[in-house]
Parts: sequence; C-alpha cells; structure tokens
Amino acid sequence: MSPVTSPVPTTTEAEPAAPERRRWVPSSLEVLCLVLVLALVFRDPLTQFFNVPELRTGSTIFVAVCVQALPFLVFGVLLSGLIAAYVPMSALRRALPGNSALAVPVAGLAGMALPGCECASVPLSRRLMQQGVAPAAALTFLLAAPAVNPIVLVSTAVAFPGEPLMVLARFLGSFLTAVVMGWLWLRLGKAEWIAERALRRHEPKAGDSKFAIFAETARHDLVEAGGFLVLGGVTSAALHVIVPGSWMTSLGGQVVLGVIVMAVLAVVLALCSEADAFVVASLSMLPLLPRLVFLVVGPAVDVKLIAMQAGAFGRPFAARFAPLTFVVAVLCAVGAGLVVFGGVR
Amino acid sequence: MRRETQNILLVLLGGALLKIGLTGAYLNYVKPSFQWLVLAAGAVMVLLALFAIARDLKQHVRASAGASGEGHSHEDGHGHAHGRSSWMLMLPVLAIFLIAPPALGSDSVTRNDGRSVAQSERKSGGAVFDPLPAGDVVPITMTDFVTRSAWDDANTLNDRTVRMSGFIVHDKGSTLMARLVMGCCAADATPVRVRLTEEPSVSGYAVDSWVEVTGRIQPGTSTQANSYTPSLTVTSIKQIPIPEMPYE
Repeated sequence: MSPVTSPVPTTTEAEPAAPERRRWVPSSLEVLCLVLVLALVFRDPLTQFFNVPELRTGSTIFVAVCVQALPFLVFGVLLSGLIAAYVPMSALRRALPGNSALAVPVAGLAGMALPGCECASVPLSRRLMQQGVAPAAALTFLLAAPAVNPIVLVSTAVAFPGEPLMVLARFLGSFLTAVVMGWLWLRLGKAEWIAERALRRHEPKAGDSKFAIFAETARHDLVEAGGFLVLGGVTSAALHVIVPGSWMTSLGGQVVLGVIVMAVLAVVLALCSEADAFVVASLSMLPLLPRLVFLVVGPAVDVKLIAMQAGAFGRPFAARFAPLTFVVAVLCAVGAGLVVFGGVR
Repeated sequence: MRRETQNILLVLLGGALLKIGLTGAYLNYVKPSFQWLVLAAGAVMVLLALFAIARDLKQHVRASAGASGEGHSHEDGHGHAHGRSSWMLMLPVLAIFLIAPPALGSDSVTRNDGRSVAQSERKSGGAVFDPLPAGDVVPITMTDFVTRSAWDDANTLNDRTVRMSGFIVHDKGSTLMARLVMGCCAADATPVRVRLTEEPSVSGYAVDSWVEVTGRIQPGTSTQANSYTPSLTVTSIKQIPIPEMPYE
C-alpha cells in the first residue's frame, strides 16, 4: 500500500549495526506467530488436556480473574495517562500538604475517591510517584484506594445486613493499615528499594501532542502491568484449586488460628475487594474478627497485588513491602475489630 | 518485547474481551452487570494498540521519505530489561480463544464442601420472608429456596410445590442439585445445594448435566450440620440445556 521501499528499520531491537555477524535470534514477533500457529495446530489435544475437573475449574477461575480485573486495570492506566499528559507536576504538589507526615493521611482519604479495585491503583500510584508525589503518600494511596472506596463499603454493608459495625471496622482497619504503612515508609523506607525505572519520568518526544503522550503512557502501563496481573491470576487460580476449601470451614471458633488462616487465605485467594465481603459473610461459623482480618488483608496484600507491585516497583521493593503490609494489616484489623466489636464476637 | 508484538497482543486480548462480551460467554466468568465494563476495556485496548500502530506507520513513512533519522526510536526507554512479563498476556488470549473454559460446575461444589450462601443471610431475631406467590407450582431460585429452608421462621416453603433448575452433583452416594452464586466473578462463587430424594431416576443423570426439578421440601432437613442442604421430594425431573446465565 504505502510505497515503503527504503530499508529503514522499523524497530530498535538491541541490534544496531552488523546484524549479519550475530547468530539469528527469533524476534518477539516471530515467536508470537509460532506460538499462535502451534496453539491452533494442537488445539484438540490442548482442550483434551484441560478437560480434567481440576484444570477446568482452574482455567475458569483464571479467565474469570482476568476478565474481572482487566477493566479496572484499563481504568487505572487511562487515569495514569491522563495525569501524565494533562496534570502538571506543580498541581499535584500543591494538592498535597508539603509536610510528608501530613500528606500520608490526606493521600489515604484521597483513596476514597477512586472507585476501583487494587489493579487500578498500582499503575496510578506509580504515576503519582513519577509526578513528584512523595513515595510514602503514593504508597498510602495504593493501599487505601481499593479498600476504603464507597463501592467496597456499600458492598460490605450489603453482605453483612445484621452487622453494620463491620463496615466501620473494615474502614478503620484498612485506613489505619494504609496510613501506618505510609508513616513506616517515611521512617524506614529507602528510595533505592524502588526500582530506578519506576521513578524515571517518561520523557515525551519533541512534537508529541498531549493526546499522544496520554495514549502512549496508557498503552505502556497497560502492557507492563497487564503481564503481571495475568501472572497473579495464574497464581491465584492454581492456589484456588490446591488449597482445600475445608480450611475455611473447619476452623470453628478458634480465634487465633482463625485470624492466621483467614489472613493467609486473603493473600492466597486474591479476591476482588468488592466481592470478598460476600465470601466471608457465608462463613457464619467463624467469629467476626477473623472475617474482618480477611477483609482488611485482602485489598492490601494478595498474590495478584504482589505480582503487580514487583512489576511496577521492582522485586526488592515487593519483597520488603508485601510482608510488612501483611503484618501491619493483621495488627490493624485485630485492633480495629477489638475496639469496634468490643471483643472477637 | 518489540513494540509491534505488544500492539498485536493488545489487539488480540482486547479482541478476546470483545468476543466474550458480545457472545455472552462473559457470563461464565463475571456477573451480568460487567458486560459494558468488559466491552469498554476490550475497545480501549484495541484503540490504544491501533493508535500506536498508526503512529508507527506514519513515522515509518516520514522516515523513509528521508525527513530525519530519528523517526524510529520506537523502544520506549524501558523495554528490554523486564519486557518478558508482557508475554503473560498470551495466556488469557489462548485460554479464551482456544480452551474457552466453561462455567464452574460440580467440581467447585464438592471442593467448597461446607460453605453455603444460606449462612450469610441470617438476620438477627429470625428472618421474615414474603409469602410465596400463589399457584400450584412456584418457580423459585435455588438461593431463595435454600435461604428460606434455613432461616424462614414462618415455614413458607412447607407443603408448596416448587420448580428450580441447577446442575447435578453426585457426592458421597447421594444426588444433589447445585448452583453457584457469584458476588463479582467466578473466583468468589459460593454453592447452594439441594438433596434430590424419593425419585430413583435422579442418580442416572450425569454429573454437571442441567435439570429442572419440581418437588416439595422435607421440613427440618436444612441444618447447620449439613451446611444447609435441604432435601427435596422430587415429583418430576427433566434435562434442560445449559442456561445463558449459569450462576445465580
């Protein structure tokens, strides 16, 4: 169609000059084609292989997690692109208090305004860091946004019709977790834990329109975070099938064991924060406190989030941030529960 | 990963979302209200990829027209160091187009042994349910039936013939009919079950086949000990096609 005749390379695979002397390495485009052809050729054996009950359940849950989370991720990367293209750095700095210790709770409250799940907040909080927001405040926003937004609180109220205190306890536990983690990061956090690439600003090419910056940023974030989201989906689907359901039901009234198991399950199952309340509501044989722990830990740290955090901020960051968040979230949930419920209930 | 490959993957993934959103297959994975979200997400993915492809083509044309040599700096700064994760985007594409996993079935019901939706519905001080509509045979959802069986102090189900649909589960020698209730997506699905009794032919139905049954509750059979699985005296049972919305 277009009269493209001159041999200008269209990409910069890291092969500048002299490609003849190097061994032939298949490009990603060729690998993609090969995978697609192989998948089509071996379609029947492949579907046969997945026709075992466990694998069928696992693959359904995997697709379900992806289909459910991708719209929220798309929402997040679009917001991230908008901020990169249209919001000047000075505006964000002015919006938050200059004192970082004060900016943390403000960022936590700002999380109430983002009605999404955790998949939207990961690319968004990284964008905030790149735009010059203090990392502690951006991390607080990351933890608060999926946990304290109005949709989550309303669905919690619907799931626990007889227990209005659950909503209050969940809000307090999650908000405390986010703010405490922000303050901890101020005291203990080291900038070098966050991968350098996460904070590097995307330098727009000269002549790019604002819309082009928006679309390119969103596309870039989508490809990158999407891969890690899928990784998290695979992990959570596998654990769904491996972890016996009886874990949840055989706990009975053991509170300490219940708290620990429910916290671990929240990480492992990686449920959407808008639906997790309905799942724990069905575990009426457990006291309220372990179920609250599930609701507070889940949106703050789960396998899907850990994968996405490792992707966005680097593995050294995720290896420190995720375990610490887990401990803080369990403690905040237990604290909030004991105060609000006046016991384990 | 090359920029072109990323764009093709985005088109494929967006296309997969559009496909399940338009054919109704999305109902196997998420609740009905997600349809426009799935469609919008698919459309945005395709558009972002097409926009990038169009820009590349334009730059390519400009560069080959001899405008300048800098027109092809495509790799966007941090492509190679961790570009491998983007390959994971292949998995949902392959899963949706090739395997097309079905809705969850009996395997999830037996796996979630002991959980039941009915357990969440308890309202303090005994629940008051609206009376069932008049008529010889009352159509009812399994969730409503099981919840009433567990918590209805007025026993509105007793001596009423009801009609429900679900799929067959064979568990420890007895035949159950079950349905999964979804909060958000299939990952959080919770089962409701009814034990089918007094009708020998029920054991002949294959696991996961969909049936419509009419029958009456056996009062007092829905207890905490059996995870609120009421027994139904079956008067008729027939096989039906898989409903468009497999979850409740």
